[in-house]
Amino acid sequence: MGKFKIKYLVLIFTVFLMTGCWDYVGVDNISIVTGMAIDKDDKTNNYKAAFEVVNIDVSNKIEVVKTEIVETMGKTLFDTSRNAKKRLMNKLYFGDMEVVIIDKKIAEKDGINTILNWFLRDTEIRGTLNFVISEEKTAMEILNNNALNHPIVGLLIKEILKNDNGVTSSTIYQPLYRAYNNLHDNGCSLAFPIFRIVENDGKETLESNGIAVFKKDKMIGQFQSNESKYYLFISNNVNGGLLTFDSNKDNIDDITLEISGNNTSKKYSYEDGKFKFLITTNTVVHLSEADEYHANISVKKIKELEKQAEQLIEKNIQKIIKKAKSEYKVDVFSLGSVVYKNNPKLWKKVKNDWEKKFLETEIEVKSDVDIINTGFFK
Amino acid sequence: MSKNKKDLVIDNKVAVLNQKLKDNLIFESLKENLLKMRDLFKDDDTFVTREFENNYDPSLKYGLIYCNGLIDAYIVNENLIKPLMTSSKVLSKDKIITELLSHVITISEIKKTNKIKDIIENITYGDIALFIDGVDEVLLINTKKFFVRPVTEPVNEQILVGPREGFNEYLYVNLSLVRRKLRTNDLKFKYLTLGDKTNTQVCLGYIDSIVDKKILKLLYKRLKNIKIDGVLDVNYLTELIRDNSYTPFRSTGYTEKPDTIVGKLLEGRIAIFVDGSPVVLTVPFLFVENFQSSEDYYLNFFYSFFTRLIRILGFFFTIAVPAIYIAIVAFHHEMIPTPLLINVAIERESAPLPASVELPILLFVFDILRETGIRMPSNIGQALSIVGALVIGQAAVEAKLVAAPIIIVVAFTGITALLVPKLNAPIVFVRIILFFLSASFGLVGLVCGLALLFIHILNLKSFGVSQLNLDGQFKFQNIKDQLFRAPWGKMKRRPPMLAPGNVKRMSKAGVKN
Repeated sequence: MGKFKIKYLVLIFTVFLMTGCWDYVGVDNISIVTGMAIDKDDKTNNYKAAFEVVNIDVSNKIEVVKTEIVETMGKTLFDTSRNAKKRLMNKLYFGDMEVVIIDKKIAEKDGINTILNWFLRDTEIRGTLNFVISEEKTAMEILNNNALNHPIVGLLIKEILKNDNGVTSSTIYQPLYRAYNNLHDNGCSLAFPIFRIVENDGKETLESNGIAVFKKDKMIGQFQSNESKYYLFISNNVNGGLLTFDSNKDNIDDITLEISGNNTSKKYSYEDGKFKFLITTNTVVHLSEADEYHANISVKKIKELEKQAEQLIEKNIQKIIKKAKSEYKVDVFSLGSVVYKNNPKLWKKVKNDWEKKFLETEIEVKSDVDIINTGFFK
Repeated sequence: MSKNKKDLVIDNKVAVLNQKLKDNLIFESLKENLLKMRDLFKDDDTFVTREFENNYDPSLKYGLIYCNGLIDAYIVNENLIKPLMTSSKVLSKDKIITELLSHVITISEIKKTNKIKDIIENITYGDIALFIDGVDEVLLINTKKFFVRPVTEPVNEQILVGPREGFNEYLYVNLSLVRRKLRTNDLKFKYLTLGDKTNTQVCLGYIDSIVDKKILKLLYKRLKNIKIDGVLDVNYLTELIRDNSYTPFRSTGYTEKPDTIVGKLLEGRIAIFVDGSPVVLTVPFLFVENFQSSEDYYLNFFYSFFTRLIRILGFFFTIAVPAIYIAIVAFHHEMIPTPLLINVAIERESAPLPASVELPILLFVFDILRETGIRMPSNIGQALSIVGALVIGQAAVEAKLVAAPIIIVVAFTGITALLVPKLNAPIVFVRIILFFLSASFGLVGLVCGLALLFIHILNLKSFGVSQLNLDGQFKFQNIKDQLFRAPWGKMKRRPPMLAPGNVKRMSKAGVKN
């Protein structure tokens, strides 16, 4: 044992001493939580939480995995999770929790700052945890609903959200780490996906339904599914989804364009105490449906369609901007962050009355659509 | 009773003289010589003496001694006894040995000696000692005839393509197999005798112009300092000449294939042949040789690159997979994807023991099964696999004694261990140490354990050559053959640490058109 080795041994074992805690906990000694719903009792103002816990009972080994809902009350959120242990063999384990469903009333009335707080402080929680606003009477209804093609609601919701902006662009993927940043960063505002329950084949099932927008940590309104796409256009989060429109003014949508990529850039100018924004979108699409021109479409016609699609995008973006200005009176599109990132000094000046400034701001939208593929058939 | 200094000196001189008397055969009389030999081989019934005279000159008396079963009787009768008896040549007593050698005996290999030790060593190895009346020297005549295993393909080193012959237990056959492939006077074979009782012949083979003389000298020094009663296999030497005594890692290479030996000699290594063992050692040993196979150099290098990578990964897997499994299942649940975590949890739920107890038990069971498989007669191999796979594997899971993932981990660990047979000793120990580190400290423990292992391997030396060969200088040439097998056209140089004086292997790599 030379000096060399001892030196390294000492170095290595210091690592042991300097690392945090480690506990031996077998996987059979934890209750795996996949989802959580948060409601509030109106009378006592206590939290009412429901946990979706995986049932690891051996008897259903061959069948599909089952989950159980554990319903608890507590003065604080952490309190509810500890109270759940009263009914369970093992302690709840949050490391694999994928989704937290928050009742709309809590989001509107109390704000979600206190809720986020626990999830940020707890060591087990993943940064990729998703928050969802429930439109139903209680958030638990969504968790208690039979998921359509997955046994676990928590995982289903996570997959719906994760793949959304590549396929439908109808809601927002906002995991915990981003949510926190959006809540506290300069000029940013928070948005969460909304879920509701709908009828499907005679049974109830859950469905995403647009985006809930926030003023600070309180929900002030929502964009429906069809508006959400344009919200995502502004925040440059569109990677897929469809654009449908009517090309010959007969009020029947006959064209479908499939978005394959989009890039949005936002620029501003500041003159005489007034902001002026220019939002430019560059969208690459495939022509997927066009009944009228099924044989071959001329270049001229393609140009025409591109123009119509551009107008569609511009029109709809302006529509939701108008909605935000008139109804919510809040910069829900995080335009303030563009100013902050480009000119922090200017932002410092306008920060305090940014809401007023936003209402005065003129926003121009310029859209460019490029049809790169029309499909081919004879 | 005290003696003064002068007496001691005289005593010593007497002792030396006595020793000489004992060692040397100084009698001229045939009768006395034979008597002495019979006395030495008293109670040994395989010892045979035979006396006869020349037909024309009865004053020429001969005596033969040999051990039964080791000699070729035909050669003795035809080429030794017959000419000695019937030769009509008049031999002068003064130069009788020279004349016998040049005119009478028709056998190629004959040595002269007057040492009893020589006689004993040689007649127990199939030679005949010829005594001549009136001469104080003995002729040792090569009449060996052994029954040896034929040259077959080694069971432990079977290959797809390439030379299939393997060494057997007879030293001279082994040397001939190597000599045939290296037809140059540059190839040297040096004999040594080791073992006080076995007097085993050991042979060092090397290529004079390539070998590092410092390493050769060191090897001689280490071999000469061995005093042991017997050397039955090369592994006796492996453990006696190694640099670090207490490490499970090898510091000498071994093979049963002559083509591999020639390859190693050409890279500047020294081969150690031991009579009676089909295994030949090579020194110095680099760590990468654990992962090499001679076949790597006979197959396409793309494929060899892949198979060597698999072997290196196999080593990592076999030592680390149980530890990784326990770390993830018991410490870092968040590392597993949720669906997998659920499946593992459902499996684990049914098992009564914690994973950290289950796993070492099953690893031990696997080692028992493997050891049984090696030791038992091959005709009951099927019974073993049924017991192993069905009873212990399936039944244990179905009876809910152990969880199914554990069986998969153990099976994977066991199979990957077979990829690197040269590392079987370290694998067993490293695996269990890493496992316990991991079961106590999670991945932190595992990573620290791996770091310690790496430091240990870095410290390994074989005859002064660093086995992992990084030595602070990370040169491409040094690691080239460690990670992948370069195409032959690119292997123009020998490993520089083995043959520092003569690194050029190839001066032209052929032409492409």
